Amino acid sequence: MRNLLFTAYVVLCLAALIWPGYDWLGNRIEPYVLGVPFSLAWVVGWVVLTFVVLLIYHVTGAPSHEAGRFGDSVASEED
Amino acid sequence: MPESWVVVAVSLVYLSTCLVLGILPGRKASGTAEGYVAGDRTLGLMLMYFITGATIFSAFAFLGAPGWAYSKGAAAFYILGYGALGFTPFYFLGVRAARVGREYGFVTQAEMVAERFGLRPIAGLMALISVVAFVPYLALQMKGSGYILSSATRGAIPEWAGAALVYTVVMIYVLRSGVLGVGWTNTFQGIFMMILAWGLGLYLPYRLYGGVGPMFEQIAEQKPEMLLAPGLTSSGQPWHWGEYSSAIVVSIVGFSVWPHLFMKAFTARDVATIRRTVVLYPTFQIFLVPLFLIGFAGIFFQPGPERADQILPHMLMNMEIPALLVGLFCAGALAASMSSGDAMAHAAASIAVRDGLVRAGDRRFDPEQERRLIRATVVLIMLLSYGVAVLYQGSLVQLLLSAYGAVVQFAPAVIAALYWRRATGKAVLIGMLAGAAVTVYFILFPGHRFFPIHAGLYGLLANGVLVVALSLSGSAPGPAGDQRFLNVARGDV
Repeated sequence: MRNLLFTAYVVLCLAALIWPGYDWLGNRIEPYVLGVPFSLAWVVGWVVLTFVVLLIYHVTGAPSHEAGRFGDSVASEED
Repeated sequence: MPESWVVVAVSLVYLSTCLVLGILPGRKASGTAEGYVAGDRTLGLMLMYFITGATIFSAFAFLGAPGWAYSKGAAAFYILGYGALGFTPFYFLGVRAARVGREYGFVTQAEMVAERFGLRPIAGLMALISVVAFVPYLALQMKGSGYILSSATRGAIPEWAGAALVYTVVMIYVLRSGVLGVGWTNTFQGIFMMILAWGLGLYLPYRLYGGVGPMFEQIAEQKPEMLLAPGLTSSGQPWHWGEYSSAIVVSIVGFSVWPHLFMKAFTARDVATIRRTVVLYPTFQIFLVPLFLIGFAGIFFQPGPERADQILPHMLMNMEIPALLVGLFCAGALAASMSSGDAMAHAAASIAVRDGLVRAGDRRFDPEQERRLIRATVVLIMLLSYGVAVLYQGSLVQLLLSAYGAVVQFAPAVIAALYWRRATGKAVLIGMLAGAAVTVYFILFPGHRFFPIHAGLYGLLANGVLVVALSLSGSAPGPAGDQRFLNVARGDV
């Protein structure tokens, strides 16, 4: 179910970024969003939304049982 | 007009900082090839985030992205568009690669694919394509850095000397610290680039038009075609939707398998680090927005630059702004060039030695020896690229596009290696060769395409169809050990 929803989002996002989705829905100058034309704001919006969806997908996944197993062999280098 | 010595001073301070930051971590890495190429698989989230982010934002992003927005308008949005999903496949591929990498000791992409299929020529072919792609890319980064220093000092530093200075610094820390040097400097350079891009991206529209809003309103009134996708071509004609859309699709498929990026899966401390890096990646992508704003700010700037990708330095040099600011821009642009160039040089040398000599050539070295050999190759590749940058007068961009079109053809092989048990080595090798041939052909002869879509997409179609058809028709299920490889990839072992 989680994977299905995620796949659906990826398809939707791709459709919104290329023809014809982008041309139909996002490709216009007005309204301006924070001074930026809608055509640019549309693409930025999808980048931001992808970040949010990825974050949700990530935190709802099973906690990685490998996190400890991979990390315990060597001390961390940078923090 | 800014005073040259201030610009030079700021740049030198910046280069020295990078040098120190790049040299320090070398003391911590082990003396083996694994330490040099994959940082002993210890990199955490911060280094992974900046190493992947800053590597992608090259001199091309800093000069090219404003240049595209300036001359082609909304066509530039495709770069941002593919970035939305571009790294997402790595959430899955990167994790699987990291697991088999740890189990089998891989540090490059090609050795992983070659091992899975038990076919050494695959490693040789992938190494060859990668190195052929990296040399012109590195040469372009060098040219970019030389151009920046030369134009910011109005020729006081000639281009060849600027490039030599900047890349000597890069060579020292790449030699000394390997991937850890790349990681630490890229973190610093990434932060520096972001601050600078946002600063300039908001300052220039404000200074020239009174703000971002008024700037776009003026463009909308006088040149509305610049703000509507798919934008324009370099000759000012409307771009084709097929080209725009397929460029996004090809970039999304190919992005994760760029060898210098993909092999960072082997540097991560754990699986969770790779996943978090992918989740955070879109936040780095937003950094393209101020670069677009800079390009749009140049549309009504008089007089115009000779070439579109000179728009940013051109505006800075022809405005009354403090020399310190020009110096900072100069350092930021060098950051963009260096943070990609270092990863290129490091990856190209690692690949040439590990995949070319060890895998395909079946030569054996002890870990110390291998590390020394990779370092020697770093010097060799950087000298070669410098030679190309200074001497070669032809179109590097054409060479680069062809080579990168071929690199995208690694995608079916990598996906099949990590996911598909029935895939065979022969099918993958033939698919890759055919895909690369088709892509390069259509890049060289764009008029022969049946439909105006990206050459790489034709290649990917041929490649994918061949891999599937030949794998299914072959009776042999592949070499023994396949199932174990895939179990490791899934995390079942």
